[in-house]
Amino acid sequence: MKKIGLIVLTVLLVLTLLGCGAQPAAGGQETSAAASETETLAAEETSAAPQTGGAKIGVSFDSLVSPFWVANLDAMEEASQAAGMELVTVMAEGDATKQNQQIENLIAQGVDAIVCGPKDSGAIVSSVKKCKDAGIPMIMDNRSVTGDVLPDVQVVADNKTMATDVLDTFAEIARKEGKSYKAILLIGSLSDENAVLRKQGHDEAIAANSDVYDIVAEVPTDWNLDTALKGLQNALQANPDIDLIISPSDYLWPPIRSSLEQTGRWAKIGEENHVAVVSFDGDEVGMQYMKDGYSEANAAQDAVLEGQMCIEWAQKLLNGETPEENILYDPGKIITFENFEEVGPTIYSYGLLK
Amino acid sequence: MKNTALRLSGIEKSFSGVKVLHGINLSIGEGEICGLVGENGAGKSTLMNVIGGVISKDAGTMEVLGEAYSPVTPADAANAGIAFVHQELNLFTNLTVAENMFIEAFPVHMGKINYQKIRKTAQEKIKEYDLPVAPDMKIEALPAGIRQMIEISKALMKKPRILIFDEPTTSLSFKEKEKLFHTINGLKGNGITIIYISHILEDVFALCDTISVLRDGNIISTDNACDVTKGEIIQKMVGREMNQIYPAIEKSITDEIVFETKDIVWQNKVAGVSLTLKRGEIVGIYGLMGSGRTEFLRTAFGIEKPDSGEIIVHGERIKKQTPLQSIKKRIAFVTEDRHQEGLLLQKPIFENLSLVALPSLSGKAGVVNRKRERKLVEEAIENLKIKVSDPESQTAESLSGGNQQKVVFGKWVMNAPGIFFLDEPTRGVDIGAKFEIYTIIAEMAANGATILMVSSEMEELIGTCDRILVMKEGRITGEIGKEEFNQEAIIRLAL
Amino acid sequence: MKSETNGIRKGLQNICRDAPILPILAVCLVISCIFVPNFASFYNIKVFFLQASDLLVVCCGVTFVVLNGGIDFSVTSVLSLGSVIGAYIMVFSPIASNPPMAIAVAIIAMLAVGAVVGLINGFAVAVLKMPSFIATLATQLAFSGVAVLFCSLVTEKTSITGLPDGFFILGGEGGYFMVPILIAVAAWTFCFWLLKYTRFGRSLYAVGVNPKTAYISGIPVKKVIMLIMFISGMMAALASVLSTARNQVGMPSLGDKLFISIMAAIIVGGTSTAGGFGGLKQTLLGVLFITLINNTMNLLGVDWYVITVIQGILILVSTMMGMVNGIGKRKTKMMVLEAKK
Repeated sequence: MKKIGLIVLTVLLVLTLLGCGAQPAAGGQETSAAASETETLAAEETSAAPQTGGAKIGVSFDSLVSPFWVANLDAMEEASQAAGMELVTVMAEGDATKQNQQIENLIAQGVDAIVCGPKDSGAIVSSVKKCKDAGIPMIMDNRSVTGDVLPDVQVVADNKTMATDVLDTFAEIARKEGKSYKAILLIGSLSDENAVLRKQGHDEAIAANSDVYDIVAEVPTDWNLDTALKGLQNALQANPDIDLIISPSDYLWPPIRSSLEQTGRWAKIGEENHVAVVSFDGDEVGMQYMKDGYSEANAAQDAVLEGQMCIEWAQKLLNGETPEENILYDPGKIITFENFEEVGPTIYSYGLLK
Repeated sequence: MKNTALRLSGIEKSFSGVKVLHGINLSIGEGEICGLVGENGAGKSTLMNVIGGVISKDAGTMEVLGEAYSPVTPADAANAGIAFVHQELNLFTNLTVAENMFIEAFPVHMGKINYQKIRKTAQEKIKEYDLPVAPDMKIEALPAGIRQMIEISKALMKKPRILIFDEPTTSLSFKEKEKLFHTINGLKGNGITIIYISHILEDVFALCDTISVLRDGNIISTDNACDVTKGEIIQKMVGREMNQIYPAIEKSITDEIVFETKDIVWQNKVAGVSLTLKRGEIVGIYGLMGSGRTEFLRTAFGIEKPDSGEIIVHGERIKKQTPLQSIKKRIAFVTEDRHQEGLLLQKPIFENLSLVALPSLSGKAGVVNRKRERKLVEEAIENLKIKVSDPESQTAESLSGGNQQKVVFGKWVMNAPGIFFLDEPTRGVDIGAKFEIYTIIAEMAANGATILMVSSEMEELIGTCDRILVMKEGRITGEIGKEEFNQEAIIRLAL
Repeated sequence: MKSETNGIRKGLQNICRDAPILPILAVCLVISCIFVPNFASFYNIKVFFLQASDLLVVCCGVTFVVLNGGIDFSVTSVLSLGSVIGAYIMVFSPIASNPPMAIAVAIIAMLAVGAVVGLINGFAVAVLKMPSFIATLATQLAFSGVAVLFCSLVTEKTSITGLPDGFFILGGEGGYFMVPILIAVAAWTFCFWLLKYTRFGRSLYAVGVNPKTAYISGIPVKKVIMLIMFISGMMAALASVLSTARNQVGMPSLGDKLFISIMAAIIVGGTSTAGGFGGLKQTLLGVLFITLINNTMNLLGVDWYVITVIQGILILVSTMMGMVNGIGKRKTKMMVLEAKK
């Protein structure tokens, strides 16, 4: 009993300390720190949005494993530095629950806005609500969420436009060279929003460039590598004269490669047996194949632009602006074998290429 | 005049301001066997720890074979040629006999343990001491007596000049004891000095040249063994007159049969044991190591499941005997191995005492009645005279052997049992505590309890029991009533 | 007067021995209050206790297992499976149109998941005599797999959203923040009572220290172990309810990363993994401590990897302190006793 009493006493003591002693000290410290920061910033950059100078932006990511997020965060850091804002970054390491807790902690810390790359678009909804309740602007980075309560701004890649653009660009090159293609169109999954948008974009461009593209087979994959491989094998068997594969993601490279190898058509650009590949994502796999001369064109999300947009909108939201649309699009970057030397280095995955 | 092997002068030691050793002066001649006797708490352990370098002395000097000796660590003691055989076994039960013998210094050949060599040397040692084991046997498979012999052979591996035995015979059978004494005498012949600590005065008299009595941190006397009697030594030890070790308490035995077994068989250790116990009776079971006496008792209590046979308690045949079942029938079981099976060593005495009585202390919902529990624990501590300052925080392992044993008794007594099974109830207990335990046993019987007691100390059985059953090779070979008690007759039945 | 100060000193010594984390926790709290901006704000204190509440509930159950010298990996799978099954009932099942009923049925179903997993573990450990390490690892693998499969069967997404608003009360949404905190406190109090004042609790400690002595003393060892694993499963299920309501989503990965925090809280609190020593007071302190570390480190903007490093070091240090303390304690006790003789 005595022990419990003592524990209670200690806790009470701590709580008292917490109540009277701590608050003014902590508060005072913070305001003075913030004030001094504002002063120095104001002296340096009078032009750059003085209202948001010294603002703290919380960034909640899943992880930095993918080069996309690394490039994305770097761009944000650069942009926020330029705007005189401070970034506080937390990583959920694959745990959606932890991400929610970390966002709570960011709110508690008193950040002015939160940029979030959600681990799970369902699980993040409770955090969106909490930000709303706390009156903190929230920007969803790269992945959009749906539901009753939406974040203030969502920055995502424009899948449809990117898909159209990449085929339009490739069609122009083909026309210049006086070529036309018999093509296989791979389809991601009809229940995945991104895949559906990419399919729509592909379809539009194919219709607009019917002089170049002749789709002889559509192969659904359900984002399953095995399904994709079997579909490709059948299509290549049935149509030996195929000379183009259009893929909705670099994820599908392994079945593309092995099906071409099996039919003796895995060859570099310029070689006799070459089958052209137009892909999507611009990740290190797709970019490597382009660098090595197996792929003609790719569409990459613009990690840098997305990061810049997030910070830009954080600033705008803090200044009271509201966006006309909830979802803002990153038009992406189209990269071709021809302009690889020039555009390649601006793609987020470039650093990982061999 | 012989050289002095070990000379202690003015050794003092205090713990937290309390003086435990009051200037010990003792000298032991080379090649002598010195018996050191004293009640638990007299300071024997402290003195041995000072000699062994486990704790440092406050004052005084020590000399080993004429050279100044002031150990800081146990390793210093070993280097000075002092070795110990402890009361508590220090063997690794998961290793083999051979590995245990060499555990402190494995013979290594190019980084690899030379198993062939240790097996061979171990086999020689086993032959030398006539142990019924193979070098590859795991310690856990061996009975306590054999473990003790291995412990001794392990100490001898270090070829010490002074060998200190701390209660070496508590778990040994008669035969093994004879062998040990033979070995010790042989060592003496080789000029090794022996300090022999024991509660068993017969052993001390049989073995030692001189007997020193330690009481309350002082050496009371040092005599040649042939000049004193047992009674005188006891008197010196306890500091009071002790006419009789065994209490004489009036009691009556009724004809009511409370417990009965019929043809109990368990593995190859118990080969058909039948007995009946009457209310108020104290029955002893004597047998040598391996006679199945302990195994029978464990089967009767339900720790081991009998292969065949019947157990009948209060006229009711028990179908499936388990400890829980036995406890419900108010049977108690005091184990021979209180550290492994009797106590929660690291837990407070309070929790140890109320362990068995928990069901009766708690209602249907399982909530323990703390008030009643505290009252019963206090009663048990008072009735059994357990020396403890704060039962709710002091752990069982901090108690002396005698007090630990009283705690084991206490936890059963708290459940108010009618039948007691006692396996070596006074093992590792000093003479004062022994007397107390005999008194407890006699009082319980006088209050109508029935006691079945296994012991390897014949004198203790003769002193306390109404009749003695002798076991050999898993069977009862004879029964002797109180009037015909006779050591020789018992031994003859046991051998 | 002197005896009184002595009493206080002894009390403090006892605390340092039983729960060495307490003074450290107190110091960290004071430091956090003074140096961490916004730590002492109402919002943060609310968040702090909300975050501690699910962890506390699941840790209470696991503490029973650890006190028995075992371990229960399967709690994380109970959290995950409970979450998707509960969410399924509230969103997709025929009774979803009636939220109050759906919520009630969902909670019962989630608790039933905990009961089933707990009983399977109990059977494996107590009756089949499997080490809890292996038995619960197996159930953890199996049931977290079931959770993922089940979720992929009912929805294309990796989580089930659209839970009824009423359910979020259990997660402390808005003004109801006291609800999960009170549930956690109630669960802890119940477990504390169970451990300290009932025959079961006392038997548990005995089995944890020395099962042989416990068996011979008539303690139904099998029953005790069964009950321990059952309670662990049930507490994990209750934590699943709280956590699902707080995250407002049914997720098959809900408990995936939680195990380290659970063990960290229990060990740092001072419960011995060897069994028999420690208890729920220690676990409470450990949970508060781990939550505090996560909270303040986030508040200070410390890298997550640094937080994991700190957690690892804390586990090592507290285990070491526990060992040193235990040995020291024993030695001094023996010497005092020697002196008394």
